[in-house]
Amino acid sequence: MNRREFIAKSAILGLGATFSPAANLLAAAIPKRRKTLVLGIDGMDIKLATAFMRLGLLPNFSKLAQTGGLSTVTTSFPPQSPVAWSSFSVGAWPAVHGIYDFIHRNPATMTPYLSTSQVTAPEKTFAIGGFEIPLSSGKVVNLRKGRPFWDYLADYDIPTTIQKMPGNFPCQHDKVDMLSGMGTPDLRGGYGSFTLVTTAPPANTNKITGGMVVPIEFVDDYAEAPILGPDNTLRQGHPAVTIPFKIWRDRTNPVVRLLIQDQEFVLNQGDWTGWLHLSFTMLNHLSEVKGICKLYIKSVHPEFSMYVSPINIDPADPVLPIVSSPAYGKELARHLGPFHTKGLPEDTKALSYDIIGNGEYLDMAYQLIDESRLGMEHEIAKLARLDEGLLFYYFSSLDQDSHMFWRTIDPESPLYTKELELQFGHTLKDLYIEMDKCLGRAMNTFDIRDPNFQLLVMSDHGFGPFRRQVNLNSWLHEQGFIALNGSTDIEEGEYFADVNWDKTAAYALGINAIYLNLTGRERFGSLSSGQANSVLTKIRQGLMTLRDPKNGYKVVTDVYQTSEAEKQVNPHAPDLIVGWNLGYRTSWSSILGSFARETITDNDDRWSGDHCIDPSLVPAILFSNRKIIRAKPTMLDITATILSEHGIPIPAHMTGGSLYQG
Amino acid sequence: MPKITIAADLYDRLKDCSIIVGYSSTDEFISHVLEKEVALIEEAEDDPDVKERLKGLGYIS
Repeated sequence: MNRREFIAKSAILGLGATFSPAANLLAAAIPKRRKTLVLGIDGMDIKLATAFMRLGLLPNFSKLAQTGGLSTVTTSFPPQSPVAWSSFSVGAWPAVHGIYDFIHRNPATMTPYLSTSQVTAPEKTFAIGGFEIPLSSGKVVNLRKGRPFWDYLADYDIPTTIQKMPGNFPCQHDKVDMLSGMGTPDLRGGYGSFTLVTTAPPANTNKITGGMVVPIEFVDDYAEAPILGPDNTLRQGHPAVTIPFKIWRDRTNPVVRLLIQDQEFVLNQGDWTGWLHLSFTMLNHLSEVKGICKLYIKSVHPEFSMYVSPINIDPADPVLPIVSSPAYGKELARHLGPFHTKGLPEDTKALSYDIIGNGEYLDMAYQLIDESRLGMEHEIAKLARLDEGLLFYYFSSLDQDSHMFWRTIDPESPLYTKELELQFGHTLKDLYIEMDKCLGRAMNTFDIRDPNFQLLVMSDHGFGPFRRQVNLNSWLHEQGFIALNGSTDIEEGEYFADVNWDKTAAYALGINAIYLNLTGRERFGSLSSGQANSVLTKIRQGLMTLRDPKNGYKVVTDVYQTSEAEKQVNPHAPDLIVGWNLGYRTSWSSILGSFARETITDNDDRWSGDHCIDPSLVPAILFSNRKIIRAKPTMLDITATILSEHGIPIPAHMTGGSLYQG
Repeated sequence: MPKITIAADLYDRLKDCSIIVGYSSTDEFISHVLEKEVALIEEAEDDPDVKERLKGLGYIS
C-alpha cells in the first residue's frame, strides 16, 4: 500500500487524526506536500563558481547560497559522469549500480562496450531477396543496476519528471516522465557522428574519429552528395541508408541552394539551418526511421564546405525508447518542437578535428543553452502547477564546453596562447553566467524560502586541466606487466593487436580502469589468482611513485583497489581505478588499447580540460535553499535527502543521510 | 579427431533435438550449434563498428 492509498483507506475506516493517536504520530512523520527541483549542472566546478560569485557575476547562485547553503560534495571514484550520476540515481556507489567507467569490456570476448546501455539486434531473422526480416524485436537494455530514487517516488505516487539523467537510457516507466540522457546514441547508433561535405577534404581525414568526410565535386556549380543514415538491418549486409541531396552555388555571391527530401534552403556562407527532418527508408512503404539534424555553410567558393550535425533521433517519432511515456514525448514535441536527443549533444569531436572553429562551436553551444532553458521553463511551469512533485533537469553545457575551452584560461595548456585567451578566455565565465540566468528563471517561479519547496543545484564533479596524457598501456609495458610480440610498429596496432597475452599480467581499458589478465576470467588469461595481489600491489606502488620526466610532477595521487566482495557482485569491475593528478589523464590512444612510443606526452587536443582524475581533486558542488548541516556530504546524501524530504524511508541499499541533519 | 565429454542427459536432449530438426546425426547437429555460437563470439570480437561507435564520445579518440 502506498502513502496515498494508506491515507485514503484510513479516512474510509474513520481513522481520523482527532481519534487516533497512532495516526497522529504517522501524520506528524509525513511532511507536508513538498516540491523538489533539482538542477543537475554537469561539470560545474566550485573553484570557478566561487571565483565568479566573488566578482558578482552569479547573483542567483550567490543568493541561493546565502539563503541556504553551498558545499563541496564527494563524488565517485572515478569521477566520470556515468559513474557519478548513476551513484546519485541509485543512492549508492558503483558496487551497487555496476557502472565503473564510460567503457567496460566483456572478459570472455575482450569486446569493449558502452557501460550504461546495450542495443542488441533481433536474434531471429529470415531473408527474402536482399532483405533480412526480423522475427523478433531487438533489445535495448539499461545496464545500471539498483532501483533509482524516482522508482521510490513513483511508489508513493509523487509526480516525477527526470530530464536527461546521464546513464538513463533506455527510458521506460509507467509513472515517471523521462527523457533519456548521456548514453543515448545518435541515429547512426554511435555517440556522435558529424559529416563534413566538402570539395577540400582536410589532410587529417583518415585520422578523424566521431565523424566522416564526404568529398564532392561541382560541375557547373551543381553537386550531389549523400547523407549517411543508420545501417539498414533489414537488408542483408546491413548497408547504411543514404539520403541524396542537391547543391547549387553562386560563385559571385557566397550563397547556396540546398534541396533535400523536398526541403529547400537558400543559405549564405556562415548560416545555420534550423532543424532539418530526415526520413530514412528501410523498407519501402513499411519501415522508416526519422532523424533531425542541422546544417552549417562554412564556405561556398572557391572551396565548398558544409557541416552536417550528428543526426539525432527525432523526438516526435523516436526509433528507440528515448522518452517515457509516449504521451510525454508527444507533449514535448508539441511544446518544444524538435530538440537534441543525442546523449551528449555538443559536437566536441568536430571542434577537436577543426571541422568547425571555436566560434562555430560556440554558436551551437548557445543554441543548446537556449534549447535547454526553454525545456526547463516548460518543466518548472508544470512543477509549479502541482501540489507535490519532483523535477530533475540536466544541463550538459558547462561540462562539454569546459572540456573544450579550458585551454583558453590555462597558461600551462600546450594549446594556450595569449591571443586565444584574449579572444575566448571569457567563454567559461559567460557560460557560468548563462547557468546563473537559468537558475534565476527557476528562482523567479518558486519561493525559495518556502519550507515545502526544496531547491538543489548540483554537479557530478568539478574540473581541471588536461595538459599531459599518459599511455597507461605503454607504462604497463615498460614496467613488465604487458608483453608485446614486436611484430608491428607500436603505434600502428589497434586494440591490443600486438599483445602477447601469455606473458601479460594486466592491461588498461577505458579512462581510468586497469584489469588483471586473470586465468579463468579473461579470454586470454595467464595470471593465476595466487599472483593477483602481488601484481596489484606492484602496479599501485609503481603508479604512486610515477613522475613526469618533463617537469618532475607527481602523475598519480590515488589508486582505488576494488574489493573481492565487489568483484563477486560485479565480475566486470576493474581491478584498479587510477586517480590521476591535476593536469594528467589517460592518453587518447590508451583508452581503446593502443600503445605509444613515449608514455607521457603533451595533450594537443582542444579537449583541454578534464575531470577523470583523483576525485578528491575535482569535488562536485551543491547549492541548496536550506542550510546544509551534514559534514562532508556525498552525492549519496543528496539522494537520501530527496527521499526523506518526501516522507519516503531510505532503502537499505542507499547509504546516504539527510543533508539537513548533522 | 578430438573428442569432448558432455553429460549424458544433455547428450540425450541434443539427440532428441537433432531428430526433431532433421539432422542426419547428433554429431552433425552438435557441430552446427557450436559453430553458430563460436561465430557469434568471433563476430563480436571483430566488429570494428563497436570501437568506431565508441569513438564518437568526446572522451575517446
